[in-house]
Amino acid sequence: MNTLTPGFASPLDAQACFRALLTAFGDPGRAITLADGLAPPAGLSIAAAAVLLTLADATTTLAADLPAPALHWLGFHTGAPFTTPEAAEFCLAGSAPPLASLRQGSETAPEHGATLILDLPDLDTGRRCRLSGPGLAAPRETTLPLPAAFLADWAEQRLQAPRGVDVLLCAGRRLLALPRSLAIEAA
Amino acid sequence: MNAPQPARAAWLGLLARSPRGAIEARLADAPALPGFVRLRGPEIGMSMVRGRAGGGGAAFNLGEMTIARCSIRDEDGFVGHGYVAGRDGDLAELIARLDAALQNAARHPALHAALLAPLAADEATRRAADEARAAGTEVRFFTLATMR
Repeated sequence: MNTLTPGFASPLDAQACFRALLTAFGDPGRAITLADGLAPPAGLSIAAAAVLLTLADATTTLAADLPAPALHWLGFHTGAPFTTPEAAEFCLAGSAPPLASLRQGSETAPEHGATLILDLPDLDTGRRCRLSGPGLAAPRETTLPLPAAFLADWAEQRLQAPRGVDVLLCAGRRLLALPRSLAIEAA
Repeated sequence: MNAPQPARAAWLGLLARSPRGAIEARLADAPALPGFVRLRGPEIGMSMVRGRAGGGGAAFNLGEMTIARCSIRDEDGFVGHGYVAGRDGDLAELIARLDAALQNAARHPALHAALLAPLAADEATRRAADEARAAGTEVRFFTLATMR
């Protein structure tokens, strides 16, 4: 028996999510709340599911560590081929893998770096961080649910700019972007 | 991912080739289809049709065609897909509903008798008429070598 459930009800939902992603990447560290309406299968938050339905398609590769029904759902609605986290353009994970293990892009084509989507229980508990960089007129102090190892990885990744990985933190209906140009320091 | 399902491919092909009016007329005598939720679509898009000259050689792009498609899940839990040439999303949805119902062993016999068998007969008639028309214009080439 098949357990597939519907994805976005209308293409407008994908456009609204794309708009939210633009806002999130343009204002790093600010949590954006997506509209209600999507009912993803178990193992996927609404925000992570919406991001993948919006961004992934048959021309992008996807890696996700999820139960089989959720993988089937993503495969059906996005059409994206699945691959290993090391080779994927979109990598969905519950905890951050070493950033250097993901696709970094090249000096001439940094856009081929991976986008890491972290599906977390919530966005509000964690360590205090100071964010600065493009998109932020003044440094922003916020709490990010990220381990110390991630911050060390991040500092290392910034040394090889423009190569690197962009990160999206998702929890429930909220998402928060960490573009690779951002500086993150423990506050 | 899934094993090939020749019977299902056959009825999907038959439904996609049959005129909408014929499907709806046959369906009037068939038992009602179960309720459903839409999984995807109906949506309209383009698909590249590829071919091989003479059935062999390298594939080339013949051209794009418009396709409407829809996927649904019915109350019995069967997922159906409908693909049809053109822009008729409602027809794609109807075919998806029929595909789901035809996978259900409890519904298949009645639908087969009321819908698939007559549609297949209609198609055979259409095809025979086309072939008869084409046969009237057939030209037989022969050479002197074969006359000996």
